Amino acid sequence: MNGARWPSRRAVILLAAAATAYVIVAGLVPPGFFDGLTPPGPYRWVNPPARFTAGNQPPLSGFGTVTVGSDGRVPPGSVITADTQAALSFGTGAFVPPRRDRTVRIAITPERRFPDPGPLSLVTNVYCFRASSPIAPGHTVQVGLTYSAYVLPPAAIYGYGSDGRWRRFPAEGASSPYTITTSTDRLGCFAAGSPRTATDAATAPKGLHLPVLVGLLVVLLLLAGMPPLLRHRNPGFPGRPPGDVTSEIPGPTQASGHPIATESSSEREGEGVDDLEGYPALEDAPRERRWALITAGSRQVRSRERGRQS
Amino acid sequence: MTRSCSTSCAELNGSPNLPARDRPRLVGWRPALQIVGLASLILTLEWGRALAERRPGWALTALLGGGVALCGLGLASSPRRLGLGLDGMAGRILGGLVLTVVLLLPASVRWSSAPALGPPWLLAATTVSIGEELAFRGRLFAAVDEVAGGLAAVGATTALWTAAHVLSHPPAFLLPVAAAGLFLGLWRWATRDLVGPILGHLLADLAL
Repeated sequence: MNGARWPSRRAVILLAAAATAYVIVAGLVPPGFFDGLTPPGPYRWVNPPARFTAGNQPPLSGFGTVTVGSDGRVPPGSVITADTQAALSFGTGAFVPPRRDRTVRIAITPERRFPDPGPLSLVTNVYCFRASSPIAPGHTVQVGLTYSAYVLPPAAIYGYGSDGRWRRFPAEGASSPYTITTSTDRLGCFAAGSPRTATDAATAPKGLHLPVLVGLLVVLLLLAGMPPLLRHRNPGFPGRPPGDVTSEIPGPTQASGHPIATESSSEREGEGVDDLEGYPALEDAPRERRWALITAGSRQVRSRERGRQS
Repeated sequence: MTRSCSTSCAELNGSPNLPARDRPRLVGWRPALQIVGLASLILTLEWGRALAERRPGWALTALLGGGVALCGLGLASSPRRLGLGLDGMAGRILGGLVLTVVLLLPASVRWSSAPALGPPWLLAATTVSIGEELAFRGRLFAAVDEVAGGLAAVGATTALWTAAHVLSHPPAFLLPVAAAGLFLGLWRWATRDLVGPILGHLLADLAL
């Protein structure tokens, strides 16, 4: 039975039960994933919004050192915080080579105090990126920030320098899910966010309510109503209830002792080839060969009968 | 290959009242070994992908590579055996949409929008979702179904599907993963169709 078929009544009941169980189980685990691209772990907030206060853990810092290469240039590298919420990536020669110890030290730290972002709604912590050497003229480094799966995706990265003024850094596309990146030629403090008017739509996890109930009804109606509806509209759809498949293979009491298949039934090749009780030869055959054996047997019977008649 | 038996077969299998397709069958060591090998290979690919994704800058490559490998593993079998085909395509697609609705229902209650991902990530999500369906509900399902029956195939694919997500998902997510695997596996068993699960998994992954 390799072709698609309509589910039996028992199968429909099982499917409906499995669908209901999935909806309930997935509904209990915000935000309701089953798979998708891997959701990041819980975001670690410096100042968690009210709905994320429970169980919040403090964010972690990241430190790294890069030694100047034999060619006198700082090699490419990246520094990432221990909780992977902020990262800095840079190419060859991105930093001015230091004259004294030939080592560039880089630090990424979550910032508790920062200038008022004004009309901006920040959806990540503010991270300050510092290095012991400035970025070389004509070079940029890439700043990446991860955001929570529970907030609206940010529109851009915003940063401020020593003057305390927030500036917009356009997003350069996601380097990985729930991550926003941008390039800058100056280090400073950065956070991801959007103009305030475009946010505040993220909803806190809630219990089951009307949309779920309506959705469940839709699913149940679809599961229960689809087979008879489509069978009615498209009678040629292959497959019947499992009880019907034995009609394709006559029993062993046929005069010839061989199963008989009609030419038209070969269009449904493969159906019924599992129901082989009483046909040991067929049970031994690979599934893909069974229908060929049945058809060959029927041809033999027919030619024998034709010979007898003539 | 099932061992030869005639009238005593149902008795030997212990479930004479079940339909033939659901009846447990006597299993030789070779098909059992093949199933174990196939399951190990799928698990290795999934875990390898999950571990590679953790390395900075490797996520996209790991997703694409793992997805392509799973697709290759699944497609090393005939389409009909996998549950693929063009017959009754309208019904298959409609089934896929029903699966999508069910899979997205819990998230749609909470989400007002999903993360905006670039084309490479959409391609990666597409490859992984198709590859997983071909490998789990396609090839592995067919292999177990042929030696142990449809319901055993549902159980085996659900268990392996859940185990495959152990490294990529936090423990709290594994129950929904298992429930989704059971639902998709039952669909495959009930309809003998893989187009619906592929479509449902794909659309749900892209939306999430």
